[in-house]
Amino acid sequence: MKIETYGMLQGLLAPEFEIEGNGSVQSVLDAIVEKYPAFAEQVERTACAVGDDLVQRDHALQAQDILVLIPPVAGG
Amino acid sequence: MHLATAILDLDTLLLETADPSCGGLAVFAGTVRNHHEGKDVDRLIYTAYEPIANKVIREVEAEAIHKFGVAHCRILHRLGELSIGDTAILAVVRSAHRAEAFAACEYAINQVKHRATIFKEEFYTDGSSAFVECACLHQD
Repeated sequence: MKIETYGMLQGLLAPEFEIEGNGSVQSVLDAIVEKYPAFAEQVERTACAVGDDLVQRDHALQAQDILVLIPPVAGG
Repeated sequence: MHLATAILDLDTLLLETADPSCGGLAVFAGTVRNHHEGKDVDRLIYTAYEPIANKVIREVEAEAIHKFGVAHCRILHRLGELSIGDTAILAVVRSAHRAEAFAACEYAINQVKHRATIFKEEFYTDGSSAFVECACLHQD
């Protein structure tokens, strides 16, 4: 599954990468933590999105989805 | 359009929202200040996850109009590298009277700050940098 990251997560992980798995959002997050242990401290503060929708942890991902990882925001 | 890498143009928003039925015009401009939590800021970079940032700003504009009964609400946020004093965000609200224009403008700015997927990295004069964190969007 393709992952995109934004903000501070780009430095912690990478702007884009691929990870095995396409089940729920939670299962993909677990796989990312396994591959990048430093992400464990940020995962609870990370929102997830597919397209222009935020998705919850139990959202079922499709193989063609791009899972977007969104750290805390600060516009304005 | 709600996100722009070019310098934000207030005149364009004023023209877009011109309305002879409105006697109240509230404008808010957020500019880059030179300090944050005791550190001297040199510049900053705004980035965004644009699909949600655009959608959220559209929603906030509609909410401000519905919630406060104003005639127009337009918000424009700058992306890219900004220097001290540059305008980062503009909100323009027009209504028949001033009270609802002020209230809607404040609501709109607060909502964008907390909901739009925009990220602010500050660069300090001591050479360090940090992302500013205003709100976490993960809720479940």
